[in-house]
Amino acid sequence: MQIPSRGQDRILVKEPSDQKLMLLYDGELSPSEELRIRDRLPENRRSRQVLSGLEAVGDAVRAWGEVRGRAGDVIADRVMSTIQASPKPRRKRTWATTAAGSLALAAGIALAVARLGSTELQSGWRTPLLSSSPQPLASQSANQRPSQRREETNAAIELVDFGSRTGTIFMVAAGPNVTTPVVWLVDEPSTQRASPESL
Amino acid sequence: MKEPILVLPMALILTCLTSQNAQGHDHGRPQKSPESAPKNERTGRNATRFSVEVMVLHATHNKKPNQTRQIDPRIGPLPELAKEPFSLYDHYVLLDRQLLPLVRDNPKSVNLPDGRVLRMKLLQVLPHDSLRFSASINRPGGKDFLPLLAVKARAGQAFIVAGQSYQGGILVLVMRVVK
Repeated sequence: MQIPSRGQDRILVKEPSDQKLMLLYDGELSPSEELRIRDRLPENRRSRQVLSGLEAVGDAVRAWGEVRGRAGDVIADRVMSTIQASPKPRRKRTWATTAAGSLALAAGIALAVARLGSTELQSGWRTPLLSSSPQPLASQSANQRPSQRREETNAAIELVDFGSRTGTIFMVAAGPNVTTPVVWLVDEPSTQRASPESL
Repeated sequence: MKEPILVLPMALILTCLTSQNAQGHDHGRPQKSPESAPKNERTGRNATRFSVEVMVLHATHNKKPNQTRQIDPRIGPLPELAKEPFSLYDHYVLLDRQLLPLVRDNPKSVNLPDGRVLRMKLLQVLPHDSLRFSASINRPGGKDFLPLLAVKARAGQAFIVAGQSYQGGILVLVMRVVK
């Protein structure tokens, strides 16, 4: 009986997914899982490439922010570009309030109703589905909006008026099955912001 | 013998008036016996049991390379700061912490370090210790930063408003409902 060597044995082990590698890069894996993946990195070229790519992107973003001296814009742009890259909502026609050049936003009429049933993004953020049609608060009870029931463990942003500013809503994990809604606004005229493509 | 005749009708009238108040017909005044009021009324009367804790954090980047990440211990446990985009900032300092009691028709305000004012107003008390309230951020006599934000939350739940520029960083407002 031939006993496989250490290297041969590990080649048969499934490679970690990109999502696992991103979690590893973000430091969100359990210590045991992180150790398991890091232990296999020397034998897993593809995983090393993915991780180095993540590090390079992070370094580039930081360097670009330092050069411009406006890291806040970088973060805002990353938020916006992540939201824009998110999958289309499934239930109804929606739009994220990220249209920096939108005349509607510039006119200060952007009213977005945060829907529950969030969509998970690649980065691990959760963004609520946004509706372009404002809904009056008085007519919204918990019974009339069954989609809200499953997110009652978290606070819910029901209505946002961004005014003339650019902003977005997303969810940040605060623990197991707990997420915190975040309203992020850009505190500068949108015309001075760098476009996400420039990253 | 005339006095007992007058006293009896007066007693009946007083009894009727007292029972009407006990059934919650007088919506404008606080109930003395909330147990006898309908459930919705009781939650409305108890609105003052809820407050919103507002933490004003200042998030900045390292000025020198290789500096370690520092989070003000006074902030307490806030796992959100370890997640993007908050994790992209290296320093978090607690600038202010206030407890705003939520009372219907009595908005509360917090002066922010950048000169703007955060204003919170209780809109509705819902069953199961749930609240609906509004928040807005503007500068007195200036342009609104956040004209309106309506939130539904229960005791212990939090939400965050971030992005105001302040002294080379941003302000992060963490608001949590407390009972």
